[in-house]
Amino acid sequence: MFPRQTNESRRFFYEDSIIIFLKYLGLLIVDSDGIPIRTSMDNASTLHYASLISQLTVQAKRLIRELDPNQELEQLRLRSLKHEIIVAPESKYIMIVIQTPEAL
Amino acid sequence: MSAKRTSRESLAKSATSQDSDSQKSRTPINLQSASTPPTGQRRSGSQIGSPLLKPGSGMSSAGNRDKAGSAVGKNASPAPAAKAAVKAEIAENIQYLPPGLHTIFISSTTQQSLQLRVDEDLTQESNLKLIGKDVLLDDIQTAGQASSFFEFQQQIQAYPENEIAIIYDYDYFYSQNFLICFDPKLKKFMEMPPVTLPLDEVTETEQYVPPVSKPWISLGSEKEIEEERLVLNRPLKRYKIKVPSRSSQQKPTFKDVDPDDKKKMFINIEPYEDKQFDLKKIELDIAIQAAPEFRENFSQTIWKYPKNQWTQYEPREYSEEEKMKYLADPKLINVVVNSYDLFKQALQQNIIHDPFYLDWTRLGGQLDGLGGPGDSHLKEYQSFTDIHNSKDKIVTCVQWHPTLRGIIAVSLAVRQGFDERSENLSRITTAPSLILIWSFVDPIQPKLFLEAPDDIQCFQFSPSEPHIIAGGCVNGQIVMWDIQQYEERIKNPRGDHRDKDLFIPGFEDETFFQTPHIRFCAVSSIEHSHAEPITDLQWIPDHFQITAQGLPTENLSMSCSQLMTCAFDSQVLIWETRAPRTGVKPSTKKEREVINPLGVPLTFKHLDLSWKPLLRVTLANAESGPDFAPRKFSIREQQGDRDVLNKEEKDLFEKKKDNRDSGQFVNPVDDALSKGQVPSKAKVLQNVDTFFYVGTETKFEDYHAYSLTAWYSSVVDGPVVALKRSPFFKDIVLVAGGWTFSLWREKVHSGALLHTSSMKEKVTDAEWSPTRSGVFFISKQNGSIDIWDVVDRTHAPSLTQSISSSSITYLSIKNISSKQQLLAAADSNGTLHILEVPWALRQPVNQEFQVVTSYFDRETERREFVKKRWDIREEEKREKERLAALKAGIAPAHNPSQEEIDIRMKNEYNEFIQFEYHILREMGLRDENEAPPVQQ
Repeated sequence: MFPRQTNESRRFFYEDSIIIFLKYLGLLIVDSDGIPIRTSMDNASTLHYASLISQLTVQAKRLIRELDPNQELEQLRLRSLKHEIIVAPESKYIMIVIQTPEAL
Repeated sequence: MSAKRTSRESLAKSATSQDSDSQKSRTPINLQSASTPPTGQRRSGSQIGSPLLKPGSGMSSAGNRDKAGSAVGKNASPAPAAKAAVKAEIAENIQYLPPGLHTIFISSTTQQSLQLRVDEDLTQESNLKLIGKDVLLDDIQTAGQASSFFEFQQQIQAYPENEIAIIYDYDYFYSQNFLICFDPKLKKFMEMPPVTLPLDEVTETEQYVPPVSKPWISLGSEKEIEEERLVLNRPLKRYKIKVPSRSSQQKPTFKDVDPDDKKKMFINIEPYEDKQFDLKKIELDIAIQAAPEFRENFSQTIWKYPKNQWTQYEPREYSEEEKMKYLADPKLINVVVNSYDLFKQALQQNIIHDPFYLDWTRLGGQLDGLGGPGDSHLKEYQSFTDIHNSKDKIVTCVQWHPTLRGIIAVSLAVRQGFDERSENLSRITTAPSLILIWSFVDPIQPKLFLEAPDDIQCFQFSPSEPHIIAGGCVNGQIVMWDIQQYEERIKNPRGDHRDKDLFIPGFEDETFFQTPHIRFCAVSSIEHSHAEPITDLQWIPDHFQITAQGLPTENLSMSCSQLMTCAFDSQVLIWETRAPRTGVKPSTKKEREVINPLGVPLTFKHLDLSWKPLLRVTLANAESGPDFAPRKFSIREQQGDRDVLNKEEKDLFEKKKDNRDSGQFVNPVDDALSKGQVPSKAKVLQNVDTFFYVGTETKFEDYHAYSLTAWYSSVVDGPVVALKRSPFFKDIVLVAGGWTFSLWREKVHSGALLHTSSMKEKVTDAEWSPTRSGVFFISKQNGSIDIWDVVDRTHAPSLTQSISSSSITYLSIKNISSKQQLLAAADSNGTLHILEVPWALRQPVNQEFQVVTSYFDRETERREFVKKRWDIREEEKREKERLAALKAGIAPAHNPSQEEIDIRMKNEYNEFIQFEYHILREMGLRDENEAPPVQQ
């Protein structure tokens, strides 16, 4: 129980700090199938982002592996005119942060 | 056999049973002889009449009845019991009796006398007997009623032939023992029945009887056979014959022989031409049948029935419990923890350097305006010219429609000078003077023609009611039009004359496609109008009006109703378009129809021909000299500028005080009247500047309170052609005329803020840019336009562009949208050029307004400085003179009087005349005797 407790506390600490830190941003935690687990956005855009980004992430992962089998995708940053989407793909979960200019 | 008796079973009962053996033996014979005439024929004849009798069965039963019949015949009456049983069936059978056949009972005595004895004369097989007609009739005569034939007496008599057929009905099939036939055809038929072919049943019934071999009886043929027989006495001999092949066995031996050997041991076969092959094919008959290749192909295409299909899906989502489960997953926590640093790094980078910062947008201005050398040039957008009406005409005035986009009006005048015009005055010109209203949609045909009594020099749309147009004529009259009923036509984006599909073919309204000519609806009275051509006309802005006393008051109706005009007759007139309160009573409808034959709108009916100006300002020269002939005027107030009203509310009294202080501004009459009028609603507007500027033939004047010239100055070297106020600075006036133009500021009378040197071409018009405070356009006589930008440079135009080959007469600019600004330039050929103002000349530069403001302020300060310097110079000059006088000596400075100067100058002039005379005489240009002219 003990290590889990610490993990949990760490998690809340970090997540909260992120949320505080990124006041205006969208934060998503999605599983590998693109199903949202935790979100700070409204339902419709959450689903949209979750499904599309998870697909992109799979593609990006494959790309990196094809180029060099020893490589691993660490982070994906998509910069558009209005947003910056930062994706951290792990084996089972994907964390997505959407940044808008207002946040800066 | 029993099977064939099916239908006859009942009869068979009546008949005594026959031995089947005899029947059997007889039947085959009977069948075989079915086609033989005596028996079969007759029987079948009767059978035709009785459909129930099957041929086969009938015949077979006939055999049966042979014996039965004989029994009946012997007994004379058959067994009564059997008869009764049969009766029912007989009764039925009778109905099948064919017409012409009748049943008849012939008693045995009669049978004997007529030789019809049953089973003797007649049998079952040969049942037909022909009896003479007379025999039967004799019988009837002798026997009378007892005769068997009595009932048929008539039929017998009527019978055409001699012999009548009597048929023996063997088995009482038709209830009696005989049948009598009265139908000759039937009789014939019975005599010669049709051949009945052997029937299928016959083959069926035929039984195979194996042939019984008969013992052979020798008749001598065996001897013949024996004679013909060949018998081998010995075995056959066999030979084998072979031809010996000697040549093949001998081996050939070859040896060389001399060809010249005389022994001739060889034969020489020379080649020769075989005549056999000499025939040449000359003609050949070949027939070829060309047949098209014919193929049949099939292919089956599948047509799929289009069907709407849909599926509904929803995104996968975790329930709350699942979410909690995953959130508690240490892996997930690891993800968050691990990626935290990455995110932090990324976001920090973003904070340090804003990724959304676009350098280009911060660079200022729109990107599409950048680059390209042609960007700062005016681009030809469209040009309008009417082939019929614009010919030999000059455009005198151009006005944009104040509300509708893409509508522009152009006034045309004959290209004639004053002298030509006065010469042609008595001539009636057929071409009417017109204002053309163009739409950008249709550059071929104008939307409307406005007819005027004389050439229009200037006109303007009413700013508040755009359907009203006021124009000033060459003859000094003011003309009013009302185009309200044609507004739809103007708005209609499509070219009317091509809009054929609006109408059903054959029902076109011809007049619809023609541009309508609209007659003016009012014209001012000639006596009270200007005496000279009207040079400028303007609607007084809707926020104030001018009273008959010349006082500006608030306009409560907020609609333009007053006009201001100026003409060469040194008058500025102010006109009121509204009907006077005690005006003409409104005419009834009927009257209107009578009065209004041309369909002229009645908007200004009350003004027509009796219109008098409200106020008349005569521009009298304070000094003696020629009167001013006003060309253009400019008033400070502008349409849509409500500042005056707002200010008025705030500091009415304060302002009044200020005005008094400034002295020049205050009109005592204004003041006095305003006091009286303040309580009433229509306030006198103190803030309205009652000065107006008038550009004359030679001078630029400032008029005060519509009464007296306050100040004038000659600023340009020719008639003033344009007097325009800057849309940004109400007190900056652009004056153009002659070969120069200058910028003036109100109340700065010492000189112009900007004065150009003389240009090569005459200036024809000037126009401020509505969006850029420092830009104005100057049109010139050679058809070019100078674009001045005081921000860029003030000594020369920033751009010169040639627009037309002929002189440009009028400039008018309109801001269509934030992305489009159009400059209308009309030339003296009657063509209207619409030019698109480039972005660079449309979009204000950074802080342009401030820059221009500071420029004008600087220039104003300069003027003040110059003025001061004038004073200083004056002082200095006086000081110098005083010092010079002191230096000249103690003697009082002699100041030559005017008389002395005149005398001195006269002497000098006389000397010059003398000198000139001598030279001319030496050259022989003057007569020797002529006395030298000496002026005293």
